[in-house]
Amino acid sequence: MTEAMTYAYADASTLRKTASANEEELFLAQYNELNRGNNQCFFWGRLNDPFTTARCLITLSNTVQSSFNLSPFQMAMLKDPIVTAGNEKIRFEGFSHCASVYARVDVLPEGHDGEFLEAGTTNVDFNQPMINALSAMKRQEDVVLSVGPKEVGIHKEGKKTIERKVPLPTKWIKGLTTVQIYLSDTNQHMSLNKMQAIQLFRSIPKGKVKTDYHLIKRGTLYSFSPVASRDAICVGGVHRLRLLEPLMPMIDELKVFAHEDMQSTTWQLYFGKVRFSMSLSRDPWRGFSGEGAALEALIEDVPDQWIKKVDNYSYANQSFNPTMLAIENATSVEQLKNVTSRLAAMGLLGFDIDDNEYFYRRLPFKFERIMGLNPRLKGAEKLLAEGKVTIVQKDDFRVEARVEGSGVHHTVIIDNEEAKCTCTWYARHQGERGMCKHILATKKMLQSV
Amino acid sequence: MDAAVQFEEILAKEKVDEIVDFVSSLDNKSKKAVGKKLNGSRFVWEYNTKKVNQGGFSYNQPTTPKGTKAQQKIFVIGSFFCHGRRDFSREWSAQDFLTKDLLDQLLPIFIPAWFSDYINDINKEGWLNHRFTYLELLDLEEKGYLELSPAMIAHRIAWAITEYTEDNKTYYRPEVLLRYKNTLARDIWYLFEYESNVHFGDPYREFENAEGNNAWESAFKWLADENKVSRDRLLSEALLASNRNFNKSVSGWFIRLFFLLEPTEDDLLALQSQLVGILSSPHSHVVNGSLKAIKKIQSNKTFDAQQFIGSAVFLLTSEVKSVVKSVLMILEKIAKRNENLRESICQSVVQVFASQDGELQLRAAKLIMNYAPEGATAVQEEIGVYAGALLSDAKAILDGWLPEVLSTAHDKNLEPELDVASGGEPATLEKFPAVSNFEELLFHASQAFDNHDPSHFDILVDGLIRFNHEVTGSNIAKLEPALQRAMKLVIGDFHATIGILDNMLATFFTEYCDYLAKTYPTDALPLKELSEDFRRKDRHQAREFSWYHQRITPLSTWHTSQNTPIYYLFRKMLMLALARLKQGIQLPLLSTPTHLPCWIDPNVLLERVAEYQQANVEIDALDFQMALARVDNDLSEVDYTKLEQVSAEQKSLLEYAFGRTAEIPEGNINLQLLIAAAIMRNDGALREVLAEKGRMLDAGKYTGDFEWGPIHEKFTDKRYDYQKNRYVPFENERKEVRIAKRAIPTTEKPGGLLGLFRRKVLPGYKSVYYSVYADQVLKEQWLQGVDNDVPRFLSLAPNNPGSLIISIIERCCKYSPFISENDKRLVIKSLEYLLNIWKKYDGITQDYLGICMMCSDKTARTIAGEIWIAGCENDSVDQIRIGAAVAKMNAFDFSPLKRFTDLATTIYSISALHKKRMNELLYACITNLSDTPPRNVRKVLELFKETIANREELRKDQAFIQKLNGWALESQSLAKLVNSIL
Repeated sequence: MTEAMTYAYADASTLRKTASANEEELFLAQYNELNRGNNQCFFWGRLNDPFTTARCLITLSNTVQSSFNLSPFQMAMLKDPIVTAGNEKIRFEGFSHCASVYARVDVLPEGHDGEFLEAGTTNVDFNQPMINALSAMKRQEDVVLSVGPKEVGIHKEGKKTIERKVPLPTKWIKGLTTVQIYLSDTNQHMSLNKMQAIQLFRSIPKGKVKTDYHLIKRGTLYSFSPVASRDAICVGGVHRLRLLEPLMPMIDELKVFAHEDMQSTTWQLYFGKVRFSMSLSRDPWRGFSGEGAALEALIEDVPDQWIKKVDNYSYANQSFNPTMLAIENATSVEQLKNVTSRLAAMGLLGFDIDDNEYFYRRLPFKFERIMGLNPRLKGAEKLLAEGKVTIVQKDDFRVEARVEGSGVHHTVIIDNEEAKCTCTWYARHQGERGMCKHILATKKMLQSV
Repeated sequence: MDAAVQFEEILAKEKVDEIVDFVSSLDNKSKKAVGKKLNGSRFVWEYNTKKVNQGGFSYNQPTTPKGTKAQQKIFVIGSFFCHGRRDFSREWSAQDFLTKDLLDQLLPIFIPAWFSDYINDINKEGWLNHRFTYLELLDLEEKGYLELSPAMIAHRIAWAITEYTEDNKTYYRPEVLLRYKNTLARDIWYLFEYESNVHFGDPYREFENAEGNNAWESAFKWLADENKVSRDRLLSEALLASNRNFNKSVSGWFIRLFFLLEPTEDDLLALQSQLVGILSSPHSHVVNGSLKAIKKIQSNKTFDAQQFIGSAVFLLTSEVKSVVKSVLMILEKIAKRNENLRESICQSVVQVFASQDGELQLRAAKLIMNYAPEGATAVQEEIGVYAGALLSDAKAILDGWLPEVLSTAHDKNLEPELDVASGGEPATLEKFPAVSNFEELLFHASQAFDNHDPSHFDILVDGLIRFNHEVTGSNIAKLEPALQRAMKLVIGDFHATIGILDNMLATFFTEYCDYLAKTYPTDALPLKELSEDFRRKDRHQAREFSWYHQRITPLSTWHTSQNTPIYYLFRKMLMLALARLKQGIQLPLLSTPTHLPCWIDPNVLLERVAEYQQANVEIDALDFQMALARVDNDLSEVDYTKLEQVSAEQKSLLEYAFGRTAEIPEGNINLQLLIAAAIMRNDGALREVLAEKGRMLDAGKYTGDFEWGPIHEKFTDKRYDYQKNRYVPFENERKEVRIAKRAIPTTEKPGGLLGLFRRKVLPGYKSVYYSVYADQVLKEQWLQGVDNDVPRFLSLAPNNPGSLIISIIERCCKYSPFISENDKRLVIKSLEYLLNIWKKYDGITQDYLGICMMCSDKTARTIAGEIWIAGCENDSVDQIRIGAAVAKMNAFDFSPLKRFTDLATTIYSISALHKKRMNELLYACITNLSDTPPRNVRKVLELFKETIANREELRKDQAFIQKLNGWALESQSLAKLVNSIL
């Protein structure tokens, strides 16, 4: 299923070299789903390390074109990464076709010398001329990056606006929802220097890897092992990391972050002025889009004014730490978590692990659309609508419910924070992939009671 | 008349000649109406169908098309004029009607607004879509009907110079390129900017009018030679195209084209900036091409060495050896000429030490030795970072460059890393996660049949026995989801992670639910209804399809296709549990583990035996055997006072098993139980017991201690002779691992009619003879699902898995590459479980580790390596047996040594201890290898050299020296290596 969104491009993205000053300009077309007519330029300035930035962008492009569980036929459609300029950083991000890999290039404040005219988000068209231009980028070149249409003079043939329908797949919208939540629950586990990182990447098994591998440290050496052990980081589909191989000789440092339940791992490469992050889902056949990490937050009732308030706050500040914000506003961390989850679910927030804060992304997805995309939420609503949930027992800390399933009655028990169900989904995943529809329906019913 | 009605008539009466005139005369409103009518006429593309019943399945088979060819053509023309692009593209079959001839007829009358986009997007439909040739498209463009995109041009021009005729002949037609002006001026350059099939050289293609099979190579050469395009531009574009993120083949083709154009030194110098630029390509073929060109010009004065060094640095960590060698060679030459660049070159070259290739390290070390300025601290610091990775030869050369502090760091590095977490003993400390109330049992039952963990089998059985008394009233109906899952599994809901044992467990659970339905007819009504529903479905399937046999069977008759004995052990235990459930006995089975993954605390076992005694419950012989087989070997804290509470017979057996007495217990003790007690002692008592019972020949059956090894033999095979139309014999060869099993006459299991009568008629007769060791045999023909059961098989006798291991070797390691995915998975699963239970095993289990280090799967080898790493730390691996097993696997070139050396390279350098143990292993391996040097023995010797700690000791070993000298006679390079070792 693909959500077709209409973007108004002011021009196709191009990278131009001006003959006079030998300057290359990366010109990124802008879109606006709601067509607010906002044609401001977001950023205009020089790149301080154009070669590294270009190599990172090519890797991002390769990530976006890759797929780890879809057939080549399904891969036919190329997706365009999202670009966000704001808070002195320029971020390029995207998913693989299968949504099991999320990649982001952050051009840090030292990585550019330019002006942010307005914070905003756009969509970069990684077409072949763009790749050609990036591939030809050399080390000591003077390159200007422009996010958003800069000036009318660029278009020699007149003001021609190209209307394009960019297919923004449902997977991306759902993936953006989950990945930020995983990233915000992620901790740094290991830090590798260049030699260690190179040796580690040499231990990645050849071919398509079906079993889980575990990143372990022995002495000063890091390696991948098929055996689980204490303090190891579990990586499913470790071959996905090969996308990073071309960047390894250039790195200063590699940091590895892991979700507390090992549901995702994040591999952050540092190049001084530029940073490349790659997050892998638990398994290559489980894209971020299918995970139910946000479900709990999505069923919570959060006042609209709260969402609006935090949305405005995020837009104004461009980034924020949710805990600090909760303390400053004397509100509960839990409630703020729900609000941020909703904003993340709407594509409005991304998460920066290094800074431990959310950054604002101006993608105008509608909340209703997110709700509609989630089959488990829809299933829960249906169970409630058909009156298939019965609360059998309820006290302050424990609730037992009977929920009618397919041919049988399931038992749902919510004991303090822990919720259990006798259904196959829960039995198989034990809550690691979010709650089943029976638990969601029970929780929703409890809220209404 | 209304336009839609008119169109309907044209379509119905198939008036093909009138359609163009009709649609071209329509205004926009009428076109819209006809468009709607077209949408309702899509039936012309559909097919009539007939229902076919075949093999128990029914499906609709297409027969004749609903629309005629004329109607389909009318539809296409109508759609072209009246539809938007989306509606026009909806019918796949309709696209084929839109030929160049038809377009020539339609386009002068009407050009749809979407036409250019539609044509340009054809190449996105995949490589199979070849509608419209390059010449056809260019013709349309020349006439002003469309604007072609560069990507589309590149895609189509790639096929333009090859002509395929109807008589299957292929012609090379480069002259096509001269037909239109735009072709050479614009179009061919798009081949360098967009990925296409320009490189496509079909090895089976032969031109009727030219040599070779790659048309574009010849075409570009011809164009350059004839001066029809700029040769300089061709050279430059070919270089740039090789690094435009195209795929490996296309990128490689462009660099080949570059050299095909025979660039001169002047050309190369002019293009040196591009040559250096493409060093960042991810494809080694491109990088090697660039380096080849740079080698030719690096000595020229105008060559920018500084720029090259800046880019080449990143290649020094390449995994492609030839790339690193070339870069080192060029850097060495630059260093020789440019004194001021030496320090930065040497500093960069240090990165080569990240590789574990001895030759590269030696080369880099020599370069540093020769050119690093004396006292260059930056170089010294850099070497310090990589010091841990230095091999002995490089280290010897760089001795003077190793800072003093390094020796301390080096020694520290050699200390065993005891914080290495890799399984082993600590696992025994974790408590077995038994359920503690009915609620936990309820949620466990829902997931127990999906094999999430090998322990779930025991947890469910144990939980049901202990909380059976709570399965009453409203609690019974709560088991409905679990019963549904069990029933689904039994009738065929198979998935890759479940085993045959899960089917058995599900059968057990369904039978338990049947018992509940009989005992509590009212409360268990939902269970009964659910069960009957599935049984009805099962019977219906069996009636409907001949290939389907009823799958819901009683546990007592449950069996596998080959009657594999090991499954009967589990069935017997489940039968016992079912009987206990029906009798309402809540005592846990003796064999229920107390610690993960499958260990039993000896004190708990004594307590359980005493509880059975007090409750006057008879102990089952197999349950007891299994319990003894699972007892944790650490008996130092056993409280023997508990033995006072058990019967004299059990006391004498337990005292014998726990090693308190050497006297073989007397009395009416089940022989298999006595054998299990003797095996638990692990001190040779088994032989005593077998000798006393006159069954010495059976020892291998219980321990798996048989001779094994690869054989290479000739045998008579059969093949089909198509001339004679029958199979004919021929002499063939085979290499396989054989186990020297002796035929063991069984005295306990009567054969013949008597045995048949007892087995089939007397209930429970077979139970007398179950042996937890001797019955660990795999007999299944197909191992699907068995691999998922292997951890549970190993959990039966974790102290002595030999009898199962020999069966795994015989069944799965028979051939050098695994012959099926299931064999491989079975070995991997067995190794994963062995890692958790590994202890100082005897005999065949140690050999198994060596065999797995030589097996064809890298994952299996790596896990075997993990066991070895952990085993070195707690001294539980036998280096001599493993080394000998590795050598044995190499006999007759059965398994290549490279498999072992690739693994050994990654595990020996973890600590000084591992280095020492690896040396012992390699020594055992070398002494057992054949006298003629086996293939890849060089790497074994290199590793041996890296791990030697005491050469003096080695020089005293005459047999070893003789073997190495014997090898040295065979090759000069080996002789050099042997000399450096001795």
